[in-house]
Amino acid sequence: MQPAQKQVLEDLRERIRRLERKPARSSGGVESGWGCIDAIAPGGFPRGAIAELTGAPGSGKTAVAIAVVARAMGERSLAAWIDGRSELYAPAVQIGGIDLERLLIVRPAGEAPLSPSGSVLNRTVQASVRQSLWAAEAVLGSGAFAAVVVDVPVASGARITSDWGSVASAEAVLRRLVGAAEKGGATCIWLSEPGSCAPPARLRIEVSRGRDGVRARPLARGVSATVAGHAA
Amino acid sequence: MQLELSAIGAGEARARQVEREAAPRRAASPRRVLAIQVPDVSLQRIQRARRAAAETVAAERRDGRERPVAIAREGRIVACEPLARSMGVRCGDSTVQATASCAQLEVILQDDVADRALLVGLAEALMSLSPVVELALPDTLLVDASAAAVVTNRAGTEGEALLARRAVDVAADMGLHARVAVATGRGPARALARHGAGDRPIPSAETRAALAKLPLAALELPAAMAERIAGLGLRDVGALAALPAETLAHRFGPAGLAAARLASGDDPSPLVPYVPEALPLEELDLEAPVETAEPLLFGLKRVCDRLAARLAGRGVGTCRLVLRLRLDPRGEVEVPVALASPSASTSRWMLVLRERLATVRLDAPVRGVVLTVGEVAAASAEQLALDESPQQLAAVDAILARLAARLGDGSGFVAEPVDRHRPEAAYRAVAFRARRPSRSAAPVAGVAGAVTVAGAAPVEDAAPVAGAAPVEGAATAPSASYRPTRLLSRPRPLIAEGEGGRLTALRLDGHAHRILDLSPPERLSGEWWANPYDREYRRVEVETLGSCWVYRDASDGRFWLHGFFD
Repeated sequence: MQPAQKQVLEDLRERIRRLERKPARSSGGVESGWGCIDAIAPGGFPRGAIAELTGAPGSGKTAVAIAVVARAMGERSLAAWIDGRSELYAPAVQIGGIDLERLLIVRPAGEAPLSPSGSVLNRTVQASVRQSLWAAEAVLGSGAFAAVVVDVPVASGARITSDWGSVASAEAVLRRLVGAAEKGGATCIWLSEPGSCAPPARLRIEVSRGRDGVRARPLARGVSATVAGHAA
Repeated sequence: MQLELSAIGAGEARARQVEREAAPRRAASPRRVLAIQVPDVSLQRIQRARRAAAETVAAERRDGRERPVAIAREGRIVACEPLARSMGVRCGDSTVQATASCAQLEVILQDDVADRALLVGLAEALMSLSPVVELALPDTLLVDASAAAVVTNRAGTEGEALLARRAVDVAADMGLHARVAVATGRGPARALARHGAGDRPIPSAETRAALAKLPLAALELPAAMAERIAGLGLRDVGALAALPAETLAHRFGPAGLAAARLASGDDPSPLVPYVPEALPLEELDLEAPVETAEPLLFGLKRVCDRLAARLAGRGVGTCRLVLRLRLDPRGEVEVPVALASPSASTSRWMLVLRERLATVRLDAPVRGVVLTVGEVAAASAEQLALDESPQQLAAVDAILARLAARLGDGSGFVAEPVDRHRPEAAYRAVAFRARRPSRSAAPVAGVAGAVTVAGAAPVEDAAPVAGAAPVEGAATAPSASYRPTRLLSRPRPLIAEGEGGRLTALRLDGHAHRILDLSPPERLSGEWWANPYDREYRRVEVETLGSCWVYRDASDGRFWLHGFFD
């Protein structure tokens, strides 16, 4: 079956699901349309689970995320982008095929972490990071969005202080996102840079840019860890 | 022959003139009117507020000793509760007499402004039944019932009776008891409603007979005239209607003629439609200050019900509410509440209000709430397409409320493109609204094909946004055909290193990064009148950093890192 036909079938199934008022679907996946990505992720980016895209600041991972979100949104669904770095540039998002009216961008107030310097390695997690992680969990668990992109720099080994003063490791906080993604059924993409921390993901891809364009490499699935590569 | 023809022509002309004169009369014939009277409106207002306030207080905290209430105006009792009547209080008593009869009596002064506000609220809710509602103060509303058959899908008096029942239900939902009557003309309908003779719709032919049984006071004639007519020994409307109209006209002038016509059931005066206020509000004073959310939400539900009914009557909704919490003993806290889409649904409002209130920290207990509509908009939430889910809208409302409560208003937004060349001003944040997506909002042309190219960088190579013709500044090729996916909020300084007149490396934060490739320049400049800029942008492939968006400031020649083609 051709990819275009598969997409049509997928859209029809989605439409029937909505007509039947069925809860959010958490099976299947969304393809990116990028040959190098889809070749190493045959089922696409999973619904109801987290997929991690990691790479240097100019590697092309955000463009891949935009392509996936555009496909996941289709003609009617909503999507959310937790922009913890306050760097997402809307004109490029629109050029990438996303209807901006249906994309909720969440930018917690506060000092945005710098990128791509080594600030992500700071052990002190800033307020905006804490708020971004809270927003990611809330948005993922809401079930209102077909796709959610989380772009929050969390340093490995960082400790996060809640509003009530309790301290938890970043890994523990990130693990909660897995449950939220399962509950909400959205396709969740976690964007990370080398040296940062990520939640346990069902799909992990390292994106880099070579002279011939974007390159992709699968990484080991599962437990959050410092990804391969090096900080700028 | 000529004369005869002209005589015939004159006759036809005369007939046409008579027809023309008759036509407006037919058009101006009295309409069917539904009159809704709220008896003892002041008393009902006080009782309604007490009921709502009592619901917010736990049963064990109520003292169970409810004092009877009476309404006074200019030192005289004008209305009282049955309990007060059973203790000897009568309308017309002085307040001193009334309190002597009933020591526990609570005398409340009549508040015309508050009474009018109550009727205005009911009038707006009744607009769901008819577009024309007249405010007939002090206690009546007149609704155009001409289209009852259309509204109720029942013909004749059956449809009118159903319309009347719906009006009573609307009043009951607003916490009010009402009497109704349907008749031809506003005066007869009002008279029949006030005197409780409107238990069934009165056909036009029976209006005179129905009015004949009512006392003269039902016609609400001017006081002096009513006194003189009573002096003639007339006691009911039927007796007045039996008098020759010319006699009354001769004796009382135009007012006498109008009274004679009204007594005969002939009132051609049109309804004067009430025009709703721009931003309605509803308020509630709690019986006792509350410190927890549950009783507050309980009272708030009542307020929402009333406000939502008013908006629904207008056929509009709101996407912004303003909740003001009155603190005890003084002070006020304002809580703005944003909704994902315009709505006049209490359940959706409460969902958001509950989330919002959960995060509000108050210094004192709450003694009252005021809920105001911050913005009126066409309601679309209830008009869902087949494949739109109300649950999803509710989920969007809830998450927006949680984000606003936790992160502040404006933390969640939608980016709206702006026609400006300055990259950092190319879009602005606007409130997220879960609008029905239009078919025209399809992905940008050319992109779908581009993203299928394996391994390429399709997003950057996509076509420019259609219709985004710049209105400000200037740009040279390659124009806006590509833009970085990330834009730094503060450009970072770079030190350019070159060899033989060409750039070879960029130094960022003290680290040198080798340049692999360099695109042709794109020059952006403008805003000479305010904050001029003149930049030469290039896409630079940098070792270890990837694809960067770098510009050289023409004013000083310095290089800056402005974004990433990530």
